[in-house]
Amino acid sequence: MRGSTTCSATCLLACVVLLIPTTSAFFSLPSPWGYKCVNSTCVKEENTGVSQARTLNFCKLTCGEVGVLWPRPTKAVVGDNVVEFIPTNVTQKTTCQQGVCSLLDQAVRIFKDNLHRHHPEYSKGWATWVGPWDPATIAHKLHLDITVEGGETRLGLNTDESYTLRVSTSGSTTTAQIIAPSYFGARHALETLTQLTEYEENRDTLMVVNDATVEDSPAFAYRGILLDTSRNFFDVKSIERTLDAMAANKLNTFHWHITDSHSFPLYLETLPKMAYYGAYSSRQVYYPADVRHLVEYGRVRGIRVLPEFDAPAHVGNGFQWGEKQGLGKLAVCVNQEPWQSYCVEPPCGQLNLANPKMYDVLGQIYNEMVELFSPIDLFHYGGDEVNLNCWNTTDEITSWMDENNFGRDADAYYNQWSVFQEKSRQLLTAANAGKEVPGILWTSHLTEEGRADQYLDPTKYIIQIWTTGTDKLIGELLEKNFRVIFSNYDHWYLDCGFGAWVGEGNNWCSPYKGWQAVYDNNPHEIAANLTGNTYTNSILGGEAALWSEQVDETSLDSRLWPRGAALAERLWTNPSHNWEPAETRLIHQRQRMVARGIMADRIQPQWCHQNEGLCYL
Amino acid sequence: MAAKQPPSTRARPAFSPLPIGASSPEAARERPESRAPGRKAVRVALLSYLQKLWIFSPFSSMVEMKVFVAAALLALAAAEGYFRLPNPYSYSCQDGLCVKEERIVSGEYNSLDKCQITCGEYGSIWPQPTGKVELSKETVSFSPLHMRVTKAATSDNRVARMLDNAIQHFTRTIHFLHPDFPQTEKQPLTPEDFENTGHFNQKFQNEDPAQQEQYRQRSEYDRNQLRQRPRYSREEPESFIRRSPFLRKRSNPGVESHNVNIEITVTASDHKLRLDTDESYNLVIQTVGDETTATILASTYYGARHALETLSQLIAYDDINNAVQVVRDAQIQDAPSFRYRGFMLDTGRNFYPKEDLMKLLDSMAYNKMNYFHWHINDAASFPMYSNRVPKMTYYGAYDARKVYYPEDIREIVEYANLRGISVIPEIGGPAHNAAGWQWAQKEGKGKLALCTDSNEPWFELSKEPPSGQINPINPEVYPILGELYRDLMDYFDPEMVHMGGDDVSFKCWQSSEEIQQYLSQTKRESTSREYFELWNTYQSSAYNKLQEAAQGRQVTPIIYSSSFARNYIDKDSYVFQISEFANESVIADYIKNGYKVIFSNQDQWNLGCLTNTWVGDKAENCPSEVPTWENFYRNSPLDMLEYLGVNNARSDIQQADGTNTKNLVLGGEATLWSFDTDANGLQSKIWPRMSAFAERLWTDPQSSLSGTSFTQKRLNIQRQRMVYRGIAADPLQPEFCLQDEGACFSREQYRARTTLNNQQ
Repeated sequence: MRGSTTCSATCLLACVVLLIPTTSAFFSLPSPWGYKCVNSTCVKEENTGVSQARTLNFCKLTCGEVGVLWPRPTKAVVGDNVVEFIPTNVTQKTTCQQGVCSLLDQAVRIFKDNLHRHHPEYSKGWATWVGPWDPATIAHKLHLDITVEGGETRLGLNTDESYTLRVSTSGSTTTAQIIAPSYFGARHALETLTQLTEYEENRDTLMVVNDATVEDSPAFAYRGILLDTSRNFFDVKSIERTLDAMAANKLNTFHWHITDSHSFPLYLETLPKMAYYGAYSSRQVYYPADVRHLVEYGRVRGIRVLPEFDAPAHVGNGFQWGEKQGLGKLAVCVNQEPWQSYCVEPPCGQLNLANPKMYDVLGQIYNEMVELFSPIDLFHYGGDEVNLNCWNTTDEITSWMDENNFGRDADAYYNQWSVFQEKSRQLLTAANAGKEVPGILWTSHLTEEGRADQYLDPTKYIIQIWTTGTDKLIGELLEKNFRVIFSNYDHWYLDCGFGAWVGEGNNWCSPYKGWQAVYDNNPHEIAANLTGNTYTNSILGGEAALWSEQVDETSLDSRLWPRGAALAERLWTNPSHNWEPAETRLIHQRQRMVARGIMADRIQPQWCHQNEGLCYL
Repeated sequence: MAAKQPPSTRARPAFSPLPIGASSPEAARERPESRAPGRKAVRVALLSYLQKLWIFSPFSSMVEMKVFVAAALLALAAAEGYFRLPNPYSYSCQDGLCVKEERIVSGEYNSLDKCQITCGEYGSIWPQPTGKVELSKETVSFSPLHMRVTKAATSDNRVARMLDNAIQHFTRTIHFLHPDFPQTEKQPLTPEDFENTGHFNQKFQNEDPAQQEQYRQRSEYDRNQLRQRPRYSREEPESFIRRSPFLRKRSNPGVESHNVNIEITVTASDHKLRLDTDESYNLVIQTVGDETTATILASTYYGARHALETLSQLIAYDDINNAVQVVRDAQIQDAPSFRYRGFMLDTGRNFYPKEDLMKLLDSMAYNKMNYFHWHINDAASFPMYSNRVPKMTYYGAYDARKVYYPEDIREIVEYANLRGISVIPEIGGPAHNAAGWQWAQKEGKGKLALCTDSNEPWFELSKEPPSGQINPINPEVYPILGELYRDLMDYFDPEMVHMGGDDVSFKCWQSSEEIQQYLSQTKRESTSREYFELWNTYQSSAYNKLQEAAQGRQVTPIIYSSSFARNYIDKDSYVFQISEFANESVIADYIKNGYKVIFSNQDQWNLGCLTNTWVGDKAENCPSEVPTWENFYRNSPLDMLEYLGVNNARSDIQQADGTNTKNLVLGGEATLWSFDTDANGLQSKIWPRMSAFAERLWTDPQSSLSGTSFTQKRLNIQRQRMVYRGIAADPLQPEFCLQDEGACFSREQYRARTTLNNQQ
């Protein structure tokens, strides 16, 4: 096999030509390495041909208590052998109610596509499966037997997402029996089943674990990712990819922070000037068809697309048209400088509380948003980071405050802000045909110590926490019966750890939150530490936030994943242990996402994937 | 694709209505349907809205009501063609920054693109040129189809072919400016693509004076012919141009008549970049009537290539005319401050496919960087296919798909050369070696690498898992190393070879029975002195093998700085790569002792420290703060030396002892160790921080960062430019800041600006 060592420069070309046939044949030899499952760990060893060394994928599927399932199921028994089949040989039988059946058809189609994506040469919906296969492999069939008991077709906070999955093999058929109370549970079961399959490199087939039982349900009802599409724009394809990756991790809420003071990329059919003035360009706009498409794309993947219209702060660009149309100033302090005096980051802008026409426009925005995202079960009002100095230095607002004898101190402004919030809630309810839905608000001045229940009704609002996990405020909110969603920035802000985008040094919430930090953030523990009670009913779940000052569609995937997967296991499984036992499974989940077309970041040298457990601290 | 869309969707150019492949079959069914009723819904919703208004009128007066209704009706009428309306904003250049303003209907419209390339002393050129720069404030629009090379003068056939390739690359970047150019199609130009363009090659292969004269003095008839016949209309267009949106729709008539000619003269015949290559160039743009001529004069191909890069930065999209625009008149003289402007990528810890390396080379060329240090293997894997010792690869590669075959490497080296980049291969030692060396023991050659037993804790044996270090006392090691070096010579034909020399662990050798026996047999103690001697045994044998493999060619080795290197290595035979943190006093010693150095301060120029938490949850070897683009920009080798007491570091004059600091400092290298990076995160981790680094080395600006807003704005544009060219560079700021250059300032910048304004 060795090339001639005396090869001179002139015969070099000939050498190379001669070597090419050997080169290409070279790696079709079996790999020199094999894997053995020892104490739940895949151990690499030289393949001597004597011992029963397996491929890495075989070992990953079958070694350890749950193989490489992610997020880890509540209860699972995974067999230690596999059968091989060709992914075109999948059949299904579904038992379901009418609306559910059409969803289920789509889920099965996605499942089949994901099987093909295991192939290393998968590209654009297609992979070459060439074998060579033995007759038993060709004959083997994967049969799906899916039963959905309920008729729910929209995800709600009370949706039962549990499922049971039984994989059994007899003769030339492996049957995956799925029973779920709702479509959403059945969909999760199909994700789990995908994770019980892997590519077999020596025979160019798929293998499926021959025998497995999984009983599974999520620890939290709300498992979210926030994407901010205002600071920078993300095209529809990149959001689709995000939804695909969320589905692969059983996350169920895509919180869409569509607008902010920077840009207004949402095209509203009755208020087109919002996008005209507010979008970065005519190509960076979400048209109604795009939004409807994404809402449906998410629903099929078990994901609620939750709209946020952040107000009264975090508005600005897009609202400039009001004055010219005779509606007066809809927003004040828009792009005002120096920004440091009027907002937390440039550009500034806040709704004009003194202008009653602002509410007409707000109502109109709600009308369209409700229609685009309908039917909504939650709505995010934003409500963070109001800058009182902006209002208090705007003549129109100060004179309105004076005329109405509201006063001019901080409390007076907080009062008016809460009045605004109540009006917003009424407008949204009106837009939603009178049907009240819980509103979500960020922690803010309104929720500060002693204030929250003064301004906000705990039966109507859910509070999303973004302070640190040690903030006493969290305890207070829980004790005042607010339902909460955790997004504490010390663990779940995925935009931290880069250079400051204004001025020098690193950005405000540095350092970068590694996947370990994301994994270890435990809402129940935080609650228990602050109050002595885990508040399992009030804590709806959690959400990792990707604010987009320093990210756009070019690097979205690597910023979100695999950290989003770490979040997913915390929220689905809520394990009692820290990240360490999860590491090898996470690395495999990352590989799986990459195979599916998600540009997830590497967290270790590939060596660590091939040498399980050896990249220890 | 857009041409095939139904007319109704054309008005909304934002997205392709088809979803990706089979991944979303349900979407394929639903989207086209949902688009059509959408428009109907506009009217219905608007009408119902108007009715509502009528009933619950919020308007205090009838006049306002009328205005609003009129506006709404206008909006209704315009809804379909809505975003065909021009942008509501216009830009003006104020104190070197493009300021966004609402557009006045009767006023002049200046697009952001135009403002960006003309505003400020340097427009949006990155890196900033070091010589004279004059840019006119006006631009002239033209169709990219009417841009041609009318002269490519060189006396060397090979240079002529290289110029053809550079011109093609340049042309691509201009077509990429169209916002509708599909991002996924912006892949590296393959040799096949290039082969398909035979007409390009034939035209300028030789310097036939008569032919050159013919081009220079084209008759009026020829010119008219050229105007009437866009170049690509008859011939089969190149694959990338076939996808160009500029081809689908003609530019506005006023623009169609404008021609852009590029005239290139290269005087020297260099076709391989070396440290002494002259990379300077002169670029002049002149517009007379409906002809713009860009004249490039450079002594080497490499200078000419840089000139095309600069020219591409003086051209921007023109959204009004479906065309591009170029700065009307310009004069630029430019040459780099440092000879070595490098980047190191580690393909041993994680593998990068060939296409990703080519994209990397493209992006380096966009920033005029010129050395690619390829850290091929590491203890984790050995991905290079060795013709002479193929078992290295068989045992060492992650899998059969993760191998660089000789033909891949040659292609990459040639590709790099065309981008003005020289490739420096590294097979380093003695540390960082394990993968691949396993085969030998079975064949009776003993242990070639030590400390590879995974039962031993890695932290006792090396800096990171997996541990492994070459066995310096096994004589079988060196012939094999020699064979690998011969492979390097064949594949790379390198000017320099990196020999590693970092992170050697004496603890590894200490723990090895084999080494201990050897020491006691030769009556030596287990002291660090003896381990340095062992290291020297390795290094000098490896050096000899390298020179043998070079067969008389001059190949300069590079080695990482260390106390070993300082005490054992001959300063005249090696180049030193300094990885010490900035301002460590030892850095000055290298210069004072006359070493030739490349700066690579790991606290400033390490790109890997962004997300580093791969072993456990603590970042290692990284500063507590992530190096930002300002760190990359601010780290100045010469200023650092001045600070450390090297006199006249910036002076061009020879010192009394005959040395000249500027000759000893070859330049700098940014590094990316791939612990937690592979092709997925590569581009966003290195760009645009490495652009900042590139300007430090090309321009070596002496002023402090007080004008950060000017640097920041050019950097934002450079980032945007790379994205247009298909590079997934990270954004540093919200796009808002790109669109309003004066808006995102720090307190310091605000103060500096108000002071400036007050002075004026």
